[in-house]
Amino acid sequence: MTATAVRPAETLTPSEPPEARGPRRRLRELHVHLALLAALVAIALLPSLIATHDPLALDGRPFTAPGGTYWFGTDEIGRDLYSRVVHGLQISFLSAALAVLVALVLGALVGVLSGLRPGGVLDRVLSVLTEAVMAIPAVLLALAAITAYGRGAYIAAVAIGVAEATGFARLVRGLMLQSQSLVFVEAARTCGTSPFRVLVRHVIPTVYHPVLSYTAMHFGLAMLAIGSLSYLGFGEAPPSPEWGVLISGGQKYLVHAWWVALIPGIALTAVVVLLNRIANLLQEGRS
Amino acid sequence: MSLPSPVDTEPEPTVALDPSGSRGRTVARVVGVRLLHAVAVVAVAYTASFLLLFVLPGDAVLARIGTTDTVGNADLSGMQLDSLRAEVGLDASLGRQYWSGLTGLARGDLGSSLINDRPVTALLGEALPNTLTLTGLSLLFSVPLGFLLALVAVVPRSRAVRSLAALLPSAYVSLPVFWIGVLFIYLFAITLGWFPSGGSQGAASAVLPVAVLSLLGAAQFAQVLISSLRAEVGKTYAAVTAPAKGAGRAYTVFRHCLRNAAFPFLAVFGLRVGALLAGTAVVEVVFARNGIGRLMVESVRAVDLTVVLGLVVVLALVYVVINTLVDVGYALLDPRLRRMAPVRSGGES
Repeated sequence: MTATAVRPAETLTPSEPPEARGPRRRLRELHVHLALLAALVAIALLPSLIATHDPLALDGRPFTAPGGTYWFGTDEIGRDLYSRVVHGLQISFLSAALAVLVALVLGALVGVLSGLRPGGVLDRVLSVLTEAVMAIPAVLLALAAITAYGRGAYIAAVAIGVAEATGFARLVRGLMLQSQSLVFVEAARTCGTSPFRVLVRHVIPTVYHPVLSYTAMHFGLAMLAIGSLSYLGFGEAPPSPEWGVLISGGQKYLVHAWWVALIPGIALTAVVVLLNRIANLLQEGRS
Repeated sequence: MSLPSPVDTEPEPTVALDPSGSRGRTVARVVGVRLLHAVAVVAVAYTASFLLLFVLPGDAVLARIGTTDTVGNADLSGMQLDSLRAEVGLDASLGRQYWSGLTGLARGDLGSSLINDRPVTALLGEALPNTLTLTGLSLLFSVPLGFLLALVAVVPRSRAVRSLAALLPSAYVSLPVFWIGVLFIYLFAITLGWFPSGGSQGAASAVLPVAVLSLLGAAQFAQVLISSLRAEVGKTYAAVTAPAKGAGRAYTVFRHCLRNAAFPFLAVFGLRVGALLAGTAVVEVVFARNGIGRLMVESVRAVDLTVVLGLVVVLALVYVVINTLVDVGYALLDPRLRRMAPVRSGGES
């Protein structure tokens, strides 16, 4: 009868981080993920390292199921799907890297420029420009660029980079505003340090961390966006083993051979999950 | 198409409110300033895409001849091409084309297709209802589902349940949306045979696309809600005050935290609409449905500049309208915003 009364009142765990883990464990996990990423970069640069066949050679029977010789099976004309997926990583990865690079450079530039004098004319003009680009979905902006300049994963990547730059610009602007009130930034300014030097020596080192995390996340998003465009038929042209191309090519044969369309999607998901994990681990490192 | 980002979750009040004004006048001012801003954003979006599309190496007239058989393409002289250009208005100077496009936009006239001469508004009028139905239906399912997932990720006492519920949305947004479509076709259309694999006939054909899209929306909304709910749960009123007055865990979350956590959700809801529409277009292509997805793919393939431009402008317009409504919604819903008059430069902190 008293048993329930003694029980402490139900409380919500106060401000406990969602996935609390020790800093050492987090760092180890981050290192493992970064090692995996490094391996992916190596494969992207030199796909023949781990490919077992020529990605374009017709050396198997069409629609061989996944097994010993052909790990992921073969496609409709007998090309080895495993080697195609490995080679496809190169295009997906490098074009996404280009997109993120464009987004990072452009976004940081716009963010810093508008964060220098918040509320100023430049800030207002840039904010309308940013919002106008945000109003156009990234995929549609990329399609407009493709209409003008022709198809291709790298053209799509630049357009996606421009679209994604808006997020970076907002993030960097916000961080700039926050950093203005930091004690050492104010101290440096009081000492008469030039604004440029304050920016480079004091502001950028404090804000690069969230930007890094945001970059990792947007790397994955860029891969998804470029995959969508290739799936729609506006990325690479069909003999290319780009993952979106593989998925759209395989969709026709889904009834006899599920692996042609589904396995490249699993590969794409795995890479995006890895990048998102890295982004989360970097984010957790801040708090 | 994209994850909610830390910056997105921060509502950015863009207008300094008049602290002394009556509620009606304040809201009217907010609406006025927002409308001006919205018009500027649409005009800039139009200008940017005009520059992108019309200062280009390709020739839409050649593309037009390639797709219609009205002119024999064997003996095309330069004169015929010029007359064709004149017919579709591509011979005018870029400035003239830009100005007539912009004034047309103000009148609600988006020009006509370079390929088949049909007005762009008519083409969009045919395609847009299908797409908006699909988006609307998926929103209808994804909002409650997102709230449910977020509550499961925060309320239960079992840590395993909470972690699992928090993991699901972040895993789902890592999946390529077109690939989930293909996977669903394989599982539910080919293997189980429950639903048709594509087409736009009948309600059954909409089940799979709506499922793909509402899961995506739910995952995105749940991500934002989970992070804002977690922040709310850690604040003093929920962690100390509520238990002290004897309120239970679930009661605190429902009664107190959910309201406060709903505001970042509202912001993200607005920002995600554009991406959701684009996602809908891709899913339409996967399931071979009629809608702006098909129109988009066909007009890009045919280099139909006016239709692509019209699509960009209409989607930008939808985005701006929804975000303006969201901003006005803030002023109506949050009493603090009515009183305190937040300043633009301090909005993101």
